[in-house]
Amino acid sequence: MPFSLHRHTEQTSLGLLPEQRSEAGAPRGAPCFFTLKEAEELELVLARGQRLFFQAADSHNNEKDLLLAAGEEPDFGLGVSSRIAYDRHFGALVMAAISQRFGLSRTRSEQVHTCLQEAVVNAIVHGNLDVQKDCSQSSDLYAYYACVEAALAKQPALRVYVLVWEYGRSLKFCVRHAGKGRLRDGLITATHPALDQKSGRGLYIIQSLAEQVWCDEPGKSLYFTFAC
Amino acid sequence: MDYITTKPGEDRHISLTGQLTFADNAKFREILNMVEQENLRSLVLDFSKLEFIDSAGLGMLLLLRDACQPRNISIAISSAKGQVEKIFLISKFDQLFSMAS
Repeated sequence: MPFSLHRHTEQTSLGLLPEQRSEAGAPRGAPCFFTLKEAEELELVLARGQRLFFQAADSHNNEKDLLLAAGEEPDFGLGVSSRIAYDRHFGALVMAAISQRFGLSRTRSEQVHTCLQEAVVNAIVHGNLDVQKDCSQSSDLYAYYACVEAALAKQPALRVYVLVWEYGRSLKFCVRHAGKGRLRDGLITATHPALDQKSGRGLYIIQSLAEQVWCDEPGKSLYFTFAC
Repeated sequence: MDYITTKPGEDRHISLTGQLTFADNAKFREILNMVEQENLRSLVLDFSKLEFIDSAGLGMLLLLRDACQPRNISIAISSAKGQVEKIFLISKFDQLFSMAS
């Protein structure tokens, strides 16, 4: 992993101390498990004081372990089903919470939002749903969308995670999927796609905006960093 | 995403609002159907109220362009701003679409 900034253990740039309690009185370290119904007002859920938010599932007790296995606990984490993430303009919803928590400028928020949107769609389509690349290159773009919709109808519950770590004046983002598909391993060096290429621009856009971009092995997580 | 027709007729103006992302492909299909089924001469897409676009949205615009070309329908994008304008620049869309501020 190329990212090597040291973890900042003092007060965050937003002025929030790690031990502050949420409005409901629960410690910020305790994850918030929200229901499908609450996911309809996800922006209200994310305004609570916790750091970790998971859409409740039968195996939700494993979610925190899954994140911890990926490394140190994030300063912000959200896990939702692919269905919710796909239907709810997920990037915009999570950006409001991230911008507020980490004090991002408008310009930086736009850039992070763009990268998160691309990464989340990649995680859903190619990670969780494993829609084949040759389907995405079909000249009939709407056949590709139909592939995705059909796959999503079969597997709506597979989770996608957005994680954020703060390191001084830098943020590290991770978008992680729970499916069998693989994203690219290693550093991303996407070349500019053909001008009239109808799909496959997402990684190039992320790389154009973020400082560093890389995937882990076995291709389940995409990381990117921004200075704040 | 939503849209309204601000100028009907064969020289059509459409204003898009909200976000144009992967999940908006069904709604965008309505604009594509307009090009494929109606007798247009030109199409101007007003992006002044479009707040956000992703790479899937770019793909949909290219599909629209592909539908216009064999029908000799000129297509232009106007008033793209903010994040939308920046993504157009990264993707060099000024080389593919007539752009007006």
